[in-house]
This record gives sequence, C-alpha cells and structure tokens, in this order.
Amino acid sequence: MSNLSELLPAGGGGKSVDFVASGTITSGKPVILNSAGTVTEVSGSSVLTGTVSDFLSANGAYSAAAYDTTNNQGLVIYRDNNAAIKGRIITVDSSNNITYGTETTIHTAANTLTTTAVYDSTHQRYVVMFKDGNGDGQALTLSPSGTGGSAAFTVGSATYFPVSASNDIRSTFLDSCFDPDTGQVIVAFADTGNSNHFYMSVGEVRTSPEDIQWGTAVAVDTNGACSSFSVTYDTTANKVLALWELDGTSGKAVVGTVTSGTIGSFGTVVNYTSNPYKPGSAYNVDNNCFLILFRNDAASMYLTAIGAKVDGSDNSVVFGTAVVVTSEYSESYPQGVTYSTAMDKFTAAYYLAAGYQYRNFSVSSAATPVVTLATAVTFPSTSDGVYANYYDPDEDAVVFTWRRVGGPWGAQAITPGSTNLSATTFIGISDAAISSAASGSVTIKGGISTNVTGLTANSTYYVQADGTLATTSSSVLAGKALSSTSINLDYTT
Amino acid sequence: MSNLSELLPTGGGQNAVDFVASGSLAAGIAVAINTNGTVSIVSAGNIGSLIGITAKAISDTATGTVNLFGGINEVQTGLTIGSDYYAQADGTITTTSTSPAIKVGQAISATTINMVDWT
Repeated sequence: MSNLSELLPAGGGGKSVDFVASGTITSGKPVILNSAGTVTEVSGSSVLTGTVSDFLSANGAYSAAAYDTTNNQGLVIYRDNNAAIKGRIITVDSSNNITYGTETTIHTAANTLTTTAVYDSTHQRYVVMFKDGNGDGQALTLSPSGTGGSAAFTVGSATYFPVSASNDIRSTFLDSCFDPDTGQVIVAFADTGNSNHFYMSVGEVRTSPEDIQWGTAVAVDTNGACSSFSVTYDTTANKVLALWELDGTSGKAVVGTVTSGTIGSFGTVVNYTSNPYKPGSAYNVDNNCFLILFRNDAASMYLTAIGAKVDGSDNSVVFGTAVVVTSEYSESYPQGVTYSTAMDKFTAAYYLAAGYQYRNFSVSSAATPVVTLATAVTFPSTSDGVYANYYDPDEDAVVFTWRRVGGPWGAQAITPGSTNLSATTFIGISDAAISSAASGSVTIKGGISTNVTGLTANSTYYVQADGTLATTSSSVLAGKALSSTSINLDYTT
Repeated sequence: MSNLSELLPTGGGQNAVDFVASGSLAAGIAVAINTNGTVSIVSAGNIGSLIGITAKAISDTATGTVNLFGGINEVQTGLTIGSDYYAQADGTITTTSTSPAIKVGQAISATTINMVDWT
C-alpha cells in the first residue's frame, strides 16, 4: 500500500451514492444533479472572448449590423458625427479577434436616424435602410469585396420604401429581415404620412443597376400610431413574424406570407404583451421557435423574454409564458438577439444599471415554447447601452458592437459557451460508466473519487465547462488531488 | 479487512457516530453537542454547537446515531432535490437561510442530504 486511497473502495470515503443516469455517463467524469434526482455528465463548451477593437473614435449613433454568409464577414454601419452614415466590413479570426475593412461612406447627410441592415444571400448584397435627413425611408445596397483589412464595399443607388417616396417614416424604429426563399428583403416601419400606421414593404435587389426595387407598401395595422417594430423570418414555415407596439399600450404580433414584391395572407393579429419597447427577435431552426426579448414598459420597464412558434398552415402564432429576465430597469435601446445552431442557444445583450450584460437563452420545441435563462455574464467592456449584434456561424461567435461610455464605438467577438454545469448542480464524479436510464454509483461532494486520471497530487482542480478537471480556475471547485487517480472532493461551502 | 469501507457504518460513512441523547430526539433533526458529550436538539442558545443530524429517533439518555458534517443523512422527508438545506434554531431542517440558520447540505433525493464538510 502506498497511500490511503488504496484502502478505499471505488467511490470511496463512504460518500458513494447510486443515481439513475440521464444520458450516458463515462467513468470518472463530473456529473450534475438534475431536479428529477437523476444525474447527467457535465458537458459543454467554454467561453472564448476576443479583444475589443474600435471602429469609430467618437460621436456615433444609430448603428446596425448584419452577417454575410457568402464571404463569412460581417458589417457594422453607424452615423458618424451627424454628418454621414458609414460602414466597415468585420472579419473575425479563430481567436475571436476582429479586423476591420476600409471605412466607407454610405450616405452623406445630417440628421439621419433609425437604421437597419440585412444581408441578401441570393443577390450577395447588404441592404441598408434608414430614416434619411429629410425623414424619408431610404434604402441602399452594398456590394462587398475583399477580405480582412482590405475588405470594402461599393454603394448602390438610393430607393425609397414607404407608401410614397416622399413620405416620412417614424423614428421609433425600423426593422428588417431577409427571406431566402423568395430572395427578398422585408422592412417594417411606421409611415408618418399615414398617421404612423404600420406598413411593411418587400423589395428585391438588382445587381445591374445596383439598387433594391420595392413593391407597394402594405398596411398591416391602421388602428393607431405604431412603433417598436421587429420582423423575423421563419425558415421552416417560410413566413415572417412581425411584432409592433400600438398606441403605446399593446404589443401586437402577426404572421404573413411573402410573395413577389409584397406580403399578405396575414393570420389573426394577437396581443403577446401589453407594452413592449423595441423587441428583438431571432429564429431557432433546430427547435422551430422564436425568442423575443423586450423591455416591458407595463411592468417596471423590466427586460422580459417570451418564446413563440408559428404555424404556417394558417399563419397563426402561439406565445409561451413571459419570463422576467432582470428585475431591474432596462435601458431604452433595441434588444439584440441572435441564435447559434452550434450551441443551440439564443444570445442577447442588454444594458442595466449594473452594466452591459449578455446571456444565453433556451427555448423549448414544445407547442407552447418555454424560455429558460442561463446565467448572465457582465460584459467584459463598458457600454452606455447603444449596440447592435450579429451571429458569425463560421466562428460560432456573437459580434457585439456598441458605444462605450462617453467615448469610442467598438466591437468584440465572443463565443458565449454553453454548459450544463453550475456550482449548484455539480454533485460529484461517476465511479463507473453508467448507461442512460441505468443506476450507477457516484462519489458525491465531500467524498474521495478514486477513478479519475491524469491528476497531479496536491494540486487543486476545478470542473471545466466541457466536463474535464483542470487546475484552471472556474466557478466550480472540484477539490485537491491525492494522487494521479484520486481527488478529495471539496464540500465546504 | 480489504479496505476501509468494512469499518464504516451504513448511511454516511465515517461521519456517523453514536451519542447519548439529552432529551428525546426525533429522527432527522439538527442536534448540538453539549460539554458533557451528549447531544441535544438545536436551539437558539446552542446552534453554534451544531454537530449534525440524527440518523434515527433517540430516547432521552439512550444512545443513537448522528450523521455528522461530511456525512449523509437519509431520514428526511419532502426535500427538494438540488436545494440547499439549513439547520434552524428549533432543530428543523429547511431551505431558509436567514441567520442564525446554518447550512447543513444539499438534497440529493427527497429523503437524503449530502452534508457539507466541517469547516
């Protein structure tokens, strides 16, 4: 006998307990305790945070962002010093560090306001839509070229999407999405020339000449003044889910079908909440559901999340139960929501008195979707709440762009990571392999696990997001190694 | 003897120890150790001497088993799996963490608490 652990049974120390496994468990691996009393092997991925990089020194406003799935690059646009709308191509490398392309002027005028951007993968153009200096709803196409620091774009000719080309649009707010099935862009806005009623226009990009041609604007809600628009395309049902606020008192939703140059066949308009301010939405193709995040001005201005599912057979939409994300006043800026197929999670950023935060959200595939919140992460950098995000599927990173407090505008790429591990759910280490639904032994916290491998005696180990044990600090302390194969599992707190 | 487990009692390994009760003790209540080595139900006056949870009912002056910190207590009822539990000033075990409550562990089943190590 060389050490005490040889006297102990597998899972030694008297703290070995049998549990039923939910999912297959490998021998000697950290496991979590589920609310049903079963255990699951810890699995997931770690956060990868790139370096902050600035794209504008000061005096910016009205940013928007989009991702080019053809060239695997992003776009950020912004108003510079109230003199012009400019933009840069963003390239993210495997370390999540950012390279900007050449800054290019998109539109020269003062007093431009709300802005939105999408990427049209059919015509391989960005489409930028904004309230121009005359108050009109203007659209421009951007044709990207080059890579990395040499990436740039050329700007097409202006067209106008409101009911009439000279009609003003309301400042609060634009939103847009791209329909890959018909290769068209959908923009949602309030037409000031028509009592701020809610309209949607559908346009198709032309590459010769370079512009976007709009169909006649479609009235969606003429019952009052509308604002806080969100439009998201459902690639399963091939429909558009539109959200808006009516008269500052009710949050409305409707599903529509896009055809050539127009949108129609609307389903029944439903109230999904009482008073939402600037919702953000994204679609999860894996679970066929939406996550909608909004500031609930009818409930203390708390940030609130709700899941939704569209039925394309009758253009209906079902909402789940709203979940309060933060019981704290949320700043009055658009909510950026993205979806990662790699993580099967939504990610959103928002601004609170406590600082700029992001977190992951899960939405179930149930007929009435259920939202689950992950732990919030305080953003690595400061913000004063103005931001736009997009998801880069090639690097599995969310690119956050924002105005730093009182200063420059920057961007940072972060792979949020996803794990089932937390300090409260970690229960111990499996004593042997356990088949899913079978019962097996786990050495729980406070015991001595004796079938791990590769440890260094007297080193302190932590459970990592992917389920490995490492000396790298994490929020979950495992314990101190007694030998290369045994660890005294801590349970002092 | 081939390993240490043969020396260990069931239900909580090396951290289950027999004590003489001072007062009648129900199963699964928090107990404190007295200066004469007996154990009593926890009260506001002795919660600082909390030592563990009774593994079974013990009559006054009788000897019975107490699961000490670091052990496992298996005689609870109605626990919420995954929740932390605390000894209260009346000897009960609940999820209330307000002082002077002291954390005793985490529920790993409806009847079992994995007890924190003594610190």
